[in-house]
Amino acid sequence: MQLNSEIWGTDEQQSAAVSGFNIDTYGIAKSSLDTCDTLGHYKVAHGTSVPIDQTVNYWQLWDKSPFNKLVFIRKDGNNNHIHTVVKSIKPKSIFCCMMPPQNANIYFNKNYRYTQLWEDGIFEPNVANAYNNRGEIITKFNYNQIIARFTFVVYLRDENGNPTGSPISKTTTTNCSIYGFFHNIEDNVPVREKYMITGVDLELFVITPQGQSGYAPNYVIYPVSGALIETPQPNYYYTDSNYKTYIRGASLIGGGISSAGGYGAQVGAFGQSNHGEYWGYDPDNHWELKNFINANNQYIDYFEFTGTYEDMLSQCASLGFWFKEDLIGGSTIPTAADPIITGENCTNDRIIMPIIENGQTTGRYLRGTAAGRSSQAQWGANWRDNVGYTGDKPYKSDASDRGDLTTVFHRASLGGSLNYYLFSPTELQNLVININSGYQPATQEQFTIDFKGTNPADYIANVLYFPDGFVCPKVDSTTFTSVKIGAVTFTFPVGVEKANVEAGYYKEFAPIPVSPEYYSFMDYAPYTTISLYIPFCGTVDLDPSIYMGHTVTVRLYIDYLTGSCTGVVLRDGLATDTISGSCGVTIPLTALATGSYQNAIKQAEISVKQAEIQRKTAWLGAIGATGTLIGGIATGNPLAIAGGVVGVVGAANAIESANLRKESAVYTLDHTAPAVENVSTASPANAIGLDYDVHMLIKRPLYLGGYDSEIYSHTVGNACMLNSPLSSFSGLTVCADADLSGITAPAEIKSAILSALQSGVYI
Amino acid sequence: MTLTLFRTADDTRKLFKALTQIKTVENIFPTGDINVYSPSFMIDYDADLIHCNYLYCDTTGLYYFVSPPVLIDGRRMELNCTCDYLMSFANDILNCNATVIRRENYRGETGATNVPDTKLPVDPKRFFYDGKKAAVLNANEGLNYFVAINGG
Repeated sequence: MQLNSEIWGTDEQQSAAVSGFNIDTYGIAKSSLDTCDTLGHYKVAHGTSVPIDQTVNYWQLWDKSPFNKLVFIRKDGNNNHIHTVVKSIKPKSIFCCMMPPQNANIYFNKNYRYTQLWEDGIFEPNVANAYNNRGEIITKFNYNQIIARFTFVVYLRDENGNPTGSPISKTTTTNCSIYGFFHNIEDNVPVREKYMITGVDLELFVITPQGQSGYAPNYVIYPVSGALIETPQPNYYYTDSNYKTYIRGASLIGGGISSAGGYGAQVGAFGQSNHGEYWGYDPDNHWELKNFINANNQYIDYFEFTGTYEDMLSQCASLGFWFKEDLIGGSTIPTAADPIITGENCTNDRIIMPIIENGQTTGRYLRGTAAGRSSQAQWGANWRDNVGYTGDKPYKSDASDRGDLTTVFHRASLGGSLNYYLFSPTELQNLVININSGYQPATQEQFTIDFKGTNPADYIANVLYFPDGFVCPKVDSTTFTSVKIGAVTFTFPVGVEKANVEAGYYKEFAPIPVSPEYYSFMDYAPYTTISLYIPFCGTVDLDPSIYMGHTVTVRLYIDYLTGSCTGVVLRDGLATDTISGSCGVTIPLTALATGSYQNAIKQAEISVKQAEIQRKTAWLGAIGATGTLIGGIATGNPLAIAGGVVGVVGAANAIESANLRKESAVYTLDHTAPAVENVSTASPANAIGLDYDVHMLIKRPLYLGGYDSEIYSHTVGNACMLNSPLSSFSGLTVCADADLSGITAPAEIKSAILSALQSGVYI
Repeated sequence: MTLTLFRTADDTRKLFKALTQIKTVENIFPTGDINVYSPSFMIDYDADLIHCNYLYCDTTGLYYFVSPPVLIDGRRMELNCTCDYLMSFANDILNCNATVIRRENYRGETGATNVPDTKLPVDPKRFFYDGKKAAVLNANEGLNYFVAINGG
């Protein structure tokens, strides 16, 4: 596979391309335009450097691209051409299209840097990802999904062979088809002698799942003709006084340029009412950037197609974006009117991918499957996946997830030989009364028939208490006023409900986003720790590297037959951790037999409350410990219940006594991670409202007072692991090692230089 | 050989130092052995040069740190110099490839990266809790006692 750098250029090549964008040599007033600084920076007029995103890509235009050789013609107030034809080689400038965030903030490596003020000068941002102030990508550049549509400006020729009149058509003509222009002969005269194609309008679209879209929320596409660049606006359709249109060789034709959506730079139609200003190059004044106030005084860039149809495809390919060859209105024409499949999935031979090599379009192209399988398309897909342009060998360097990351939980009804009911305390009492004194068999034989000689209480397999919010769901709204125990029917005044016992039934808690604080290593272990308390189960420690930046959801799977439960921790839909617990409290059946059931119920409820209190206490203690806490101990032992030791208490004791401190096996800390301490009176815990909520506590570090990031950067330096020429750095630079080839000096001096680099130098 | 004397206040570890030129001393000839990388020069006494701490020699093409001059008889000064190899080879150094483990600026970008920094002053005693809670969704109400019965 081709290297990314072989397609879009190495850093040096891109640097050269950027530095080539120096229009001072073409007489552009310096107050209007500035040269580019080093790679990655553009200078604006007031001198501030604006860094650009590292995922930016851009390319130079093929030498034979029409936008490298353009001419101007002028129109008068009556829309007639004044044939001031000035041919000039335009600067080999970088072709780009705008993809700004709505507020035109410029981000570098996800750190906010600058709000671009367009009044400061011309800024031609490149295609890039855009980020918000939390470092989250809000606009992903995807090379494969930006397609171009070309419309061609066709004129009749006058007797001098110059364009005359209004353009006949933008896309195709009834009088002259684009294809026919190149191939047809009428009356023994090549059609191109009668007509001329004077310009190409380029519109850029983004491919959405629904197909081509002229306007997409995340991509602000501007109709571009000869690279017309416009200022970013919150609402593309409307302007304000600061709205500027910078025209680098754009066609300004009466009637304007309309895009598929009817929006955009309709110069003639909208005129000044929609645009604050037009700026373009004045060919009569040393190409000085000029504000054209009078829309009628328009300048037009045009070039003339004189080659073959294949040459025209090369011209379109010279702009670097995918397009399609299609039949429209009887004319074969490069366009993008139909939804198409571009990128690594391309198979249609009508779909064309311009070949870009070493950061420059070539005019060559690939079609269909050949395009889809190309390295260039693959790298375009990597952009979509947010790998970004690294200029390096293809490897995955980002944290974007991959693969099937959804855990499927199954549910199934459980049948069986038992019947499952839901009782209220009153009806449960009635059940006991019925068994103890309500049932009066006439004879011993009757008792044997009814209960096969065993204790009726033995027919009650299990009685469990579940707290409010977590009770077993009922089958339907039917209540049963009679229940068969053994062969005997017992009645209940109020009625009981049938329990819907289902394997895989769970209660889900609201999702909890885990967001970084520092957007650095400080958000991860051992600096940051995360504890998650799950009701009825206990506390689990979550590894920040797994959950940071993701959403944690907790599900509680309850086994109503046994009272046990399993807490499942999900990270964005993928189950990542489990912890066992006990949700139900078993009511001792022996109490039924002894007739002291009412006391047993009361004791069970008391025990539940005790368990809750102890759970909280255990959790408070568990916060401080960083050792992994095993799940709550499921004990249905009635005696244990009576003793009040339920759930996580035992495990919490283990934690407190262990008082573990997590040692980092990988990192040795000078200023150590915060010493782990048990929290005895943590106010957040005291602020717990409900007993049955999931609680997440993220323990985050603080800098020492007096820390100044700038001074620290300048005197100690920020930790990194970067491999690059030293010219890429400035300020304090500390090297692990360096290759001093190229320094002509004695060995002692080289050794001294290396030693200085390793202890730190200021570049 | 011609010596150009400067004052500089920049850190000695800086590659490109800001130099304030004080004087140029011309027609200097060796009076003895000269070590190119730690030379000593004998010049006429000049009060303006007392506090110069930096020097460039056109013959060697190198920059030097200058120790406080030694005033000797005959109205002469002795300048003992040590080569500033960082400034002397600054452009060559910039072209070298390196593995950098600490930096202030990299292509204009500042700030921490995800490489853990063991020297970063994290407070060992203070931290803050970021607490979140999540209630159960669709908490159901109903009868609390689940009873399994063999019957029917």
